[in-house]
Amino acid sequence: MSDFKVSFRENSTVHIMDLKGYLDAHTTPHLEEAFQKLITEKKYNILVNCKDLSYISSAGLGVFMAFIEDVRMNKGDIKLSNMSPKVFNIFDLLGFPMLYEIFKDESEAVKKFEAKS
Amino acid sequence: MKQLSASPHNQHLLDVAPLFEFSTLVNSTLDLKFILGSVLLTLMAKLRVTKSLVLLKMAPQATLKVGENRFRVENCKGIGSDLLRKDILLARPPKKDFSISSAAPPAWKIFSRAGIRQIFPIISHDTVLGYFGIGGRMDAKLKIPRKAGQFSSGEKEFVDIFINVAASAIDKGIAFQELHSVNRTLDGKIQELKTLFELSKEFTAVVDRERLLKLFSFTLMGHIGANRYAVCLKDGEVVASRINTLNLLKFKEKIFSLVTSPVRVSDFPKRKSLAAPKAACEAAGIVAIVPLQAQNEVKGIVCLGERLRGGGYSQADLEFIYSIGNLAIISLENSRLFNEAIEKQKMEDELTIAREIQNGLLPKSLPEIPGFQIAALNSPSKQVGGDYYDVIRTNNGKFVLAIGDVSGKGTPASLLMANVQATIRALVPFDLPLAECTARVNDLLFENTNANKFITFFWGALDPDSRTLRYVNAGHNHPFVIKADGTVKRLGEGGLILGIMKALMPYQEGSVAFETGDTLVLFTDGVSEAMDNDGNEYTEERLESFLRSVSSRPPQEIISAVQEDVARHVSGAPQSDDITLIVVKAV
Repeated sequence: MSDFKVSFRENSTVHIMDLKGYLDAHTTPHLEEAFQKLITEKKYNILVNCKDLSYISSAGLGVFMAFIEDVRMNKGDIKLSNMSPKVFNIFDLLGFPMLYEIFKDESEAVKKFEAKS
Repeated sequence: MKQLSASPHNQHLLDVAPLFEFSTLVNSTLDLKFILGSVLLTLMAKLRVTKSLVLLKMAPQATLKVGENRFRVENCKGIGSDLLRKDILLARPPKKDFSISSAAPPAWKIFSRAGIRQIFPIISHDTVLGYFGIGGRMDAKLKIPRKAGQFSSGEKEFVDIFINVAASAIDKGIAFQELHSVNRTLDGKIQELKTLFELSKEFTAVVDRERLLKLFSFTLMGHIGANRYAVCLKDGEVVASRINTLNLLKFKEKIFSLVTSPVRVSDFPKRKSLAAPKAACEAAGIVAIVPLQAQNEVKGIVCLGERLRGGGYSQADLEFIYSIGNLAIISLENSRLFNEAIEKQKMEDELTIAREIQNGLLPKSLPEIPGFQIAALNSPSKQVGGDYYDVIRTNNGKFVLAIGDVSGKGTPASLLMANVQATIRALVPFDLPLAECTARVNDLLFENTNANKFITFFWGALDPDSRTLRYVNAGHNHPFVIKADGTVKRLGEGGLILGIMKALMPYQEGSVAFETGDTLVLFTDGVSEAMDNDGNEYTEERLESFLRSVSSRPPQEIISAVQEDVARHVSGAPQSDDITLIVVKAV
């Protein structure tokens, strides 16, 4: 069975989500809940670390689309980091690098958030 | 031996070392962009020109005429970016260099206007891959552009050699780029297939409508990069994100019948009747509509707004949404049927319970009453109403006949009926006066049920010795007494329906005496209100006149005859309420 986990970390400005495992149609609701949780808590500087993400499906990408406008309207952003080439390829294929900032390493993304605030 | 270096024209040809260096550079990479940029810069430096560009032949397109070739400006230097990605069409691409100073062929005019003076073909394996354009030469000393076409033959020769060296690298670069783009298209197709496969797997496992719609939406958003969309289903359900569908839904019928395949709003047929729906779509920011089809029927539509990253929807995008949409709608249909089946099963289970309760409450057999014949019928409707009847022998030899109709249907009605029966059975042995008992039953019911629960109820105590019936009618259909001589009496003495309010006024008791041949008929409104397909009721009037015609028969026959007459009346319409009859005849 496909396995997927989201865990949360935070520093002073950034709320970091660590994704782990296989994000497909079946596990997508978990990611949705995770975003919903942050947004309900009015946490809008969201960094998604994809280090342990082994796969993402179109439905998984859809979750990012569903929340991005709300987040940006609240002067926050969803940034991504530490993608494996395989996962990046899927993001790239569906044109996501045009919509989201994707960083090689988490620290760069954190810096970017901190520079803004 | 003549020294080549002596001729100024051939000066560049001597520069073999840089040429070799250039060859190594452009052949060391497959990056077409880099190769083209290097060639342009090197040419410009060598010839001291300030403007240059490169055109490459594009893949054939369906819109081109036979024999026409499309060339696109891939890179340009010193002439602004206006010309970048401009296409020109050439019927016969020239294979020799030529000047485009004044009398340039029409296709080349835009370049001559931009200051390009000389065009050199890029040829590999005898095929024209594209062209380099060079112009705007600066004289080193005067720093002014020299007249056009003033490249010496030696210079041209140099450029030819130079381009020849570059051509094979460019050829490889193009091949690599094509391969790369084919690979990407393939990756894209694989992603589509993966998505379709994943969805079809997930859709079959999910029966929750909300979850299905969500999954469909997320896939739509993720795959297409759109976050403005609305899914409108035929049954009126709407799931929308950042699109206001209120106005749109006014034209639902029209749009549903129009959209049998994916369509862009801008491509709506130009018909007067479609002007308003089109305007509504545009006002809502909808650019394309994709139907959701199952069994060749449009069951819903997906309205797509602008994509977040801009740019329209390609035909392939729309086709893909169409595919996953059809997958989704079939699953939605299945989930609807599944839920309906469950609902139906639930209702049937409940009805079975209700029927069992009701059956358990009705008397299994009727007691024998000396000097009387008695028969009864309870025919429950499909939904099981709350009819009740009972015949109880009291301790002092009287017989209590009771009939009632509980409000509502199904299990709740059955349970209330069970209450009534228990109360009555508990009270009867005490042989209290009927009117007082009725008041007690009423108060008990009123205290223990909601005000919207009530019972029409009639009961009477028949004394076989005196051949009299003392009765109380609490809002029930007045029973008939058909005298042996054919006259009819209705038994209406009593009071309010049971369970509505506390008994403030005492219930009145009525009494009727029986002579041989007299017939008492108790019934519920399932008889008098039995409806035909046009909604016409059987009516108490018809019951009365029919009873008169059959009153001489024994009770069981009277019941069968009434049942048949009611059946004749409804002529096949389904029975909507319980039918209950008790017939008692003095013999």
